[in-house]
This record gives sequence, structure tokens and C-alpha cells, in this order.
Amino acid sequence: MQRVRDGDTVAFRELFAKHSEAVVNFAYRFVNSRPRAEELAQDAFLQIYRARGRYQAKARFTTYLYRVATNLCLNELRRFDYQGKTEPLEGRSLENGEEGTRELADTSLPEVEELLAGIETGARIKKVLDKLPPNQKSALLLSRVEGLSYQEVAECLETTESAVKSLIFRATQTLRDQLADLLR
Amino acid sequence: MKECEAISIELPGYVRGKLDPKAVAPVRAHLQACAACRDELVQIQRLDKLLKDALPTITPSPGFASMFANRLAAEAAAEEEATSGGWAGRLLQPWVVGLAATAMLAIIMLGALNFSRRSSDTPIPRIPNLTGGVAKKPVADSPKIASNPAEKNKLTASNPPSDVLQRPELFVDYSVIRDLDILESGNGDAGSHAG
Repeated sequence: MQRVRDGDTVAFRELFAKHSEAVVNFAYRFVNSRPRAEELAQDAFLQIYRARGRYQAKARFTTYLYRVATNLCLNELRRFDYQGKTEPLEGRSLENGEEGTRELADTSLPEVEELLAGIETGARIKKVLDKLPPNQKSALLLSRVEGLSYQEVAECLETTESAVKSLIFRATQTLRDQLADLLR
Repeated sequence: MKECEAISIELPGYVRGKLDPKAVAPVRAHLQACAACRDELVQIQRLDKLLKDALPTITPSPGFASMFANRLAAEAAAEEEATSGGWAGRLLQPWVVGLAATAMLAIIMLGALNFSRRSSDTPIPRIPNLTGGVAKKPVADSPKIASNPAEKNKLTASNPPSDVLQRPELFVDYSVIRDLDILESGNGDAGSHAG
């Protein structure tokens, strides 16, 4: 980031190549739309590029990146209601009037069964996560999925470490209640 | 039981090793003594694994990186434009603005000077004393202001009396004088004046 601050755009592209996929996935867990998640990730990197002159190496770059991304995602949630809106991960649906055939997956094979069960479980977890209050969801994802420390999560959410602990605890309780059958 | 509540808030952090080293020892000690909290710990570990493994992950679309490269290039170009200023910026350099302002001020001052010179050369026209009665006390050879409306109408601005043409300072709109005459006679309305 120091190189970026000195005007090195190649260094910035390297940062983008290294972290962009994680940020797209992070945003996707908020907005449930791949194009929007990609846009949000790009917006986060562009914001960082614009503010590169003011960057101070007080924290890890990833903490700074997730702070910007979290703010963008929370703003997006405030502007639109994404709850329950999901789109298929792979392939696209047929347009009106477009003809096509769709082959059903052969569920007789054990791996496919497992795969489908996994997808179903993932969709269920996602549904429960989407119902969490945005701050709880952000704290949980940043800590559990992105692997940030409590202090880093607190920096991202501009709150205290004890508040983060409390947010994560409440989110964990809700998930445990809602997904009790999967945890046995 | 109160201890369990205090510990359970620390358990998610304990599972992923995110607690301060100072906070770890009491949690570990409590877990050795409390079966309920150990169960909770196992559930949190499972939940953690579920979140890591079962949450769907996506791969950005093929055009994602190139689209960002385009946006970044546009951003960099816009920044360069803003710093170098573009044609508008070049035109609005501080020294150009200063020069233009000085020139404008000089033109205004010259104009004002020229105007004041001209106005001091030209005699100020005397305005006839209307209240003194241009209409009431006519000069011997000046036409009388007709008291009847038909005659009044003949004396208009387009048809002024002959002495007015010789004395430009008296070249005033006669219809104004007529109206003043009406006002001075004390009758505002034309009907009573006509009588």
C-alpha cells in the first residue's frame, strides 16, 4: 500500500488480484447477487485508490479493505432490501420465449447426493444469516469467515471489542437455535 | 450459572483462538469443570465448520478484472485531468485570472474617467419650473393652454407650440404639463375640469 500511495498503479493491481475474490464473496453474502457483489468489490478498491494519499499504515491492509467493504455493504443493505433474494450460482435462467432443455442431475451417485445436500445446507445457512441484524452478520462473517481478530472487526465496524464479542455471541446463539439439527 | 454466562460470551472467540492470552486461562479452567459449557463449545466448533464449509463461494465473472482495470484507468485519467487541469484548468491558471481581472478593472476605470470628463463639458440643461406655472403664467407669445378639452388635445407632444421648438430646455411632453394643470386646478377628474 505504501507503493500505491507513491503512485504505483501496478502495485494496486497486485493488491486487487490478491484480495478481490475474497471481497466479492464477502459482498455476495450481503447482497446475494454476483453482479452487484462484483460492483461493490470494485467500488471498495476504487475508494481505497482515491484515498491512497491519506492511507496510514496503522492497521493491516486487509482490515482497511474490509472496513471499506463493510461500509459499502451495510449502505447497500440500507438502500435496498436483499433479504430472501437469491439468484442461481451457476448457469442462467432462460429468457422469455427462449427455448432450451435442462438436464436433471442424476442423483443416484453418492457424490452428487452429497453435493446437493451441501448446496441445500449452504442455502439454509445463508437464509438464516440473512435474517440476522446487519451488524451481527458483519461481525460474524468478518470474524468467522474472513478470520479477522476481534480488534480488527471492531475497527471495521467502528465499535469496541466488547461490543464485537456481544454481537458475535448473539449471532452465534441465533444460528445455533435455527440450525440445531445440523449441529447434532 | 453466572459464570457460565460470562464464559459463553467468550466461547466463540476461544474456538478460533481470538481471545487475549489473559482471557484464555479462566475459560479453559471453567470448561474443565462445566459439562454444559463443553457441549456448547462443541456446538460452536461445528457451527464454525458449517459456516466455513457450507457457505457458498463464487468466482468472479471472467470480465471482472478487465472491467476493474478500465474503471481504474478512467479514475487515473480523471485524476490527471484534475491535477493538470485540462483546457479549462489551463485557461484558469491563477496568473491568467489575475491578468484578466486587472485588465477589466483598468477598462472600467478608463470608462469612468472618460464619462466624468464628458459630463463636465456638457452644460446641465435647466429644467423649467413647472410649479412656477409654465401653464398658468404663459409668456406673452407662448400659446395659451386651452381650457376646453378639444383645444387641449391639439397641444400634444407631437404638436408642441412654436417657442418650445426654439427653446430646447422647454421641450417637454405637453401632455405631462396638461396633467399637472389638471392636478393644480384641484380637480383630479377630467370631467369636472372640462366644465
